[in-house]
Amino acid sequence: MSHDMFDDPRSHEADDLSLQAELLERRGEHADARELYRRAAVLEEALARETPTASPRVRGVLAISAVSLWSAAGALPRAIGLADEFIGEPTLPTSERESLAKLAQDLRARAAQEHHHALLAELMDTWLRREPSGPDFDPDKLERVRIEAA
Amino acid sequence: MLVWDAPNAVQQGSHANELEVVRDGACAVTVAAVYAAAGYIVRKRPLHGSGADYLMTRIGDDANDFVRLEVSGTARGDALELRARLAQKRVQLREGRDPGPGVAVVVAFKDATVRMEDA
Repeated sequence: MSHDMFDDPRSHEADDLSLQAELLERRGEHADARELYRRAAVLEEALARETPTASPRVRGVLAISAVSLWSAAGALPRAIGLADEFIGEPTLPTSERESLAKLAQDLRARAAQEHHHALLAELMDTWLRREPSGPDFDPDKLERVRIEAA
Repeated sequence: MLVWDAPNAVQQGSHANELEVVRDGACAVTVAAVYAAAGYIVRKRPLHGSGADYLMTRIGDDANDFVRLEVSGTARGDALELRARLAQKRVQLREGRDPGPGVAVVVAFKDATVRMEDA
């Protein structure tokens, strides 16, 4: 009989870590929560990779869970990379590959949005560091950036 | 029958968010209910995106034959709300990409009622 991945101690540990991370998030402790999500993601990804292709539904659901955990940890490139890797596995059920494709699409949109916000924050920071009375100071431009960032 | 100790003041204070309390309570009751009523053992709590709150199997079943479980809870809902929530969970499971079996469970705390349905 093949190894049951749901009985693997790493599976239980990943579930415990993600539950603890959720509780930390509820308390607003986001940095600590992300660290626990990261540790859970490492375990879940290893389980997904080690699940035999003879158990395609388990392999698929663990891959989806690992991608979601990397996303919750804030590691979007890692999450997208893992999703793309498993989408390319023809042995996974179509339903799992479709779910991964949707996840990857959403994560790419989120990554683009975060990149955009980071650029806006940098621009605002640059403006705020300038002398309000200096020759380059343009309050209207700053206001446009502020509105877009909001 | 389920029996538990009444929470003390500290426990009540630290669990004062009704949404979270109802959700967590519904999950706890559901894990016990699916075993008592249908012999399911909850095996995994995948993170969002996998189309289920929990994955479960019956004793002796292969892990690859897991059944998806969707849970909902209501603190003050009546029979009408319970039916509506059950329908909503059923739709959620059917709309999921995984064509495998699923079970929807709703826990109504006001009437101490649990309803479950195959989806």
